[in-house]
Amino acid sequence: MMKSSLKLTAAAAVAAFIATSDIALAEEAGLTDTTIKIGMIGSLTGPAALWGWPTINGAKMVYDDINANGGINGRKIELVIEDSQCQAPLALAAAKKLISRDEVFMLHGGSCSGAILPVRDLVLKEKVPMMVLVATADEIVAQPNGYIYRAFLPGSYDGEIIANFIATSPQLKKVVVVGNTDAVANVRYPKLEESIKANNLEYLGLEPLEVEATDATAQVLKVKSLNPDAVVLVARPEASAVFLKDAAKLGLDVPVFGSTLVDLQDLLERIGDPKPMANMNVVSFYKSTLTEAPMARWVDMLKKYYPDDKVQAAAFYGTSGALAVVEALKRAGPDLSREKMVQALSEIKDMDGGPMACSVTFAADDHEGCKTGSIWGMRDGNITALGDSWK
Amino acid sequence: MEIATLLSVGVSNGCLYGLVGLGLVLVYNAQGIPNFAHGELFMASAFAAYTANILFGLSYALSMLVAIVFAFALGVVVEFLAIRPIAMNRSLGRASTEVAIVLSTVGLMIAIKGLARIPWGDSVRKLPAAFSTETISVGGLVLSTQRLLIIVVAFVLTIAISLFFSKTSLGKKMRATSQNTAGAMLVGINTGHIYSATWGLAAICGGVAGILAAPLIFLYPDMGTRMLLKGFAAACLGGFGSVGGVFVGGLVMGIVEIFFGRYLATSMMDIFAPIIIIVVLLFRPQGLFGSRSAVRV
Repeated sequence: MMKSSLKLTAAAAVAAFIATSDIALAEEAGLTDTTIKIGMIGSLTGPAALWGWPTINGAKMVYDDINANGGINGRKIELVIEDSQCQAPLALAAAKKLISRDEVFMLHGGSCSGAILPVRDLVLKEKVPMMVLVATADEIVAQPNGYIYRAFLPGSYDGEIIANFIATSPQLKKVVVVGNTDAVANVRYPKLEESIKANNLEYLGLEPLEVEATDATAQVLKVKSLNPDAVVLVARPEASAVFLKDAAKLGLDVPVFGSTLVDLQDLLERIGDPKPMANMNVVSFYKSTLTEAPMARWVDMLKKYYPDDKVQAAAFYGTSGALAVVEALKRAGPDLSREKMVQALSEIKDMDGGPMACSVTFAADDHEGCKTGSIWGMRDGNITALGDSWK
Repeated sequence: MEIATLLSVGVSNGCLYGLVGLGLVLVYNAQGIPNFAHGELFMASAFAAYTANILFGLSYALSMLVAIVFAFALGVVVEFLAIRPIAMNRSLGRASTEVAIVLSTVGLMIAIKGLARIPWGDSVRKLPAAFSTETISVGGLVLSTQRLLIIVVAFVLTIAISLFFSKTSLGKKMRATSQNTAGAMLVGINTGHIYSATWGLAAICGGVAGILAAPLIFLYPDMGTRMLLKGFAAACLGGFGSVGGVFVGGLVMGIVEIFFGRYLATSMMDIFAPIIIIVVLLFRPQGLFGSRSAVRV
């Protein structure tokens, strides 16, 4: 009797130990008393490496700064960084490794929409909180989604901002779109066309431009023949620069509005001549140009932690996401869990977006935290923040 | 006026395709190798010009010369280190050797591109145009001076290469080696040197195209990939057996492509080169200017 009672007690104790251990393990993935492990995924090599380290470092500097100031609730942030090369299979493999082998607490990653989109299913299945780094496709964060958040302007919204801006000018009535036809550009077209029409502007159609275009003569001449008042350019930097150069050469003299795929300073450097840029405007994520006061804190932070990095627009694309992660970790408290993290993220309201023009607001059923941007343009040869109406 | 503008751009693009195609044809005729790394020679030469001109501050003309010498040297080194050891390995058998060499060029393509990303991967590069005046106006027609230079250089280089093969001793040895390697060896031609020289010359063709195209496009490690496809299409269209044919093939491609884009669909411009390759291979595999070769069995 005594023996069987002892056996039962031992079995119960073992069962209880196993059960509580499982719970403890599940609750403590990526957490120790002194660290929070976050997995980052970026395009560090390959064709999109241009965006890789600058965007990763723009987020890392926030974590570095937090660590330098004692961490969050007694824990310092430990980063594990993986390369996706902007390819879906590699991004998925990286996410699996980070979740299963490295047992990270959460993910902060995604430089290319096409690459990171397949990671979405894995993240939702494994119930791992994720902050999108710089990928813009709406589908990554679309509902139903309990775990993925984004704290910068999603891809489809810049079309609306551009259309609303064009509509503030009485001279601009007919709009043609020139753009790439890859996944990054394609997510922008439906809302762009819808917004152009909603603003009672005449939509003249979409003129495709190759991502690796080396010449845009055919496109420019075709656009000229349509006689538009404005051109919306939804193209990557290389193709945008080619189009602008050829537009200037062939006398296409109308305002051009670029999406968030391009940055004025970067275009200026690529083209090396301010003339083709005279009509150029872009949607910007940021509060001000990089040389103005609102950006000084972030520029200084980048110089402090990554003095060799170039101060460029791409450097701060991931910063607001890191700020949101830090804010949620603080709010979730020392007794941290993934579910508490998700809840804390969803409760963020009107948080300063750091370098971003928007205030970050999440909700349980809306994980797009940032929905506003502003238009910048070249005025008298200088990059000028124009706001939301034609100047 | 629009027609003239399109024509000027189409001809200059076609000249670039022709030059790249010419480099492919030289290697193919010499050794039967489709060189998939040829686009990387295009890219590497452009970066060499950039390094000489921008980083070392050499004059434009001297920088171009340095880049051309670099292209030749790179072609020779590639042949000597990556192609010849496989070609000389008799134990593989003919079919396996050909496959191994093709795979070697694919490997080279990836390796050169990867190496280029180490110093150049994360910044924007731009090579200035040869002339400070970017455009000239002729009767209201705006012409790019860089595009005019491309046309002139491409014509001159193609004629020079044709004369080189028909008039010079080395050119005749190259032709002899490509027609009958065993026979060439029997009469005392050092075929190893001939192959190196052929790869060097082919690299010059690709390199000159890269140097000329660089001011119109931008310098990045992947810049040769697209041009390789266009060069292959030009070579297929003109015929792999003819220097002049490849050049004309490139011109036809450049002109048809841009008119097609302007008056039919710009969305089709990207797939024009692969369509040309497929159509030519299906209906006239010897190309427009090639002739069918009979093989006695």
